[in-house]
Amino acid sequence: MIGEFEYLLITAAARLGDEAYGAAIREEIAAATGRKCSLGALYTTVDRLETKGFFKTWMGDATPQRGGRSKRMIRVTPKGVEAAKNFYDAVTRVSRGVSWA
Amino acid sequence: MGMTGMIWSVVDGLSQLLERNEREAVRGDLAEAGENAWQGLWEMLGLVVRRQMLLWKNWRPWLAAFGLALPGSFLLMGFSISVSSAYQQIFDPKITVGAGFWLFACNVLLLAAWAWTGASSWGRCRGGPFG
Repeated sequence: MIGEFEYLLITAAARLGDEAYGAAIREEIAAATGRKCSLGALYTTVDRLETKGFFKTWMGDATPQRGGRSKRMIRVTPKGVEAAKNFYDAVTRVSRGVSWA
Repeated sequence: MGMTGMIWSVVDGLSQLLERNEREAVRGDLAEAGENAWQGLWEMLGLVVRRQMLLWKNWRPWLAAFGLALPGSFLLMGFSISVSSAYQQIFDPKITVGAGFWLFACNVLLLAAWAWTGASSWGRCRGGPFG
């Protein structure tokens, strides 16, 4: 099963869809958790998820906003969707009957 | 060049340790996020350290370090001492140039050859571009 941070990454990438790349995913995670993840954690995890077949990445267009540098675009594969769904189901199951309010 | 410029130069230097595409993406992300120089340095350092640590999860760098580099360093140290002593013999005014010169030249060549062989083997073993 995937880990918590891997789940966050897959979910953020899935939410962003065609606009999923490093900086955008970082922002998405910061908005959801209130904490900015480091680029080191982000890119090493992206690589791991790609190796596992949960992500597909490729180099996208360069933009002036990025100083003319390209983005590393990310897409969640069906295998990644399945892994995130399994994690979510497990968290939902284990949380049943527990109230954190 | 100001302090900020210098730090960004260090960030650029560190980014050379990353693969080309990753370097491009990470430098772009830093620019897009509007990180300041110190944050940029911290982020880049974190990524580079993680990448370097990951390399050591493979058996190759361990073999290269302890199977080649360490014994190679002792070998090279021995040759260096030999070259140094041959050099001293040649340029000692009491000894005439000639007999010791060829020994010195051979030792220098041997030292260079071993250094090249060691570095080349290290590069191949580590899977890097050298060699």
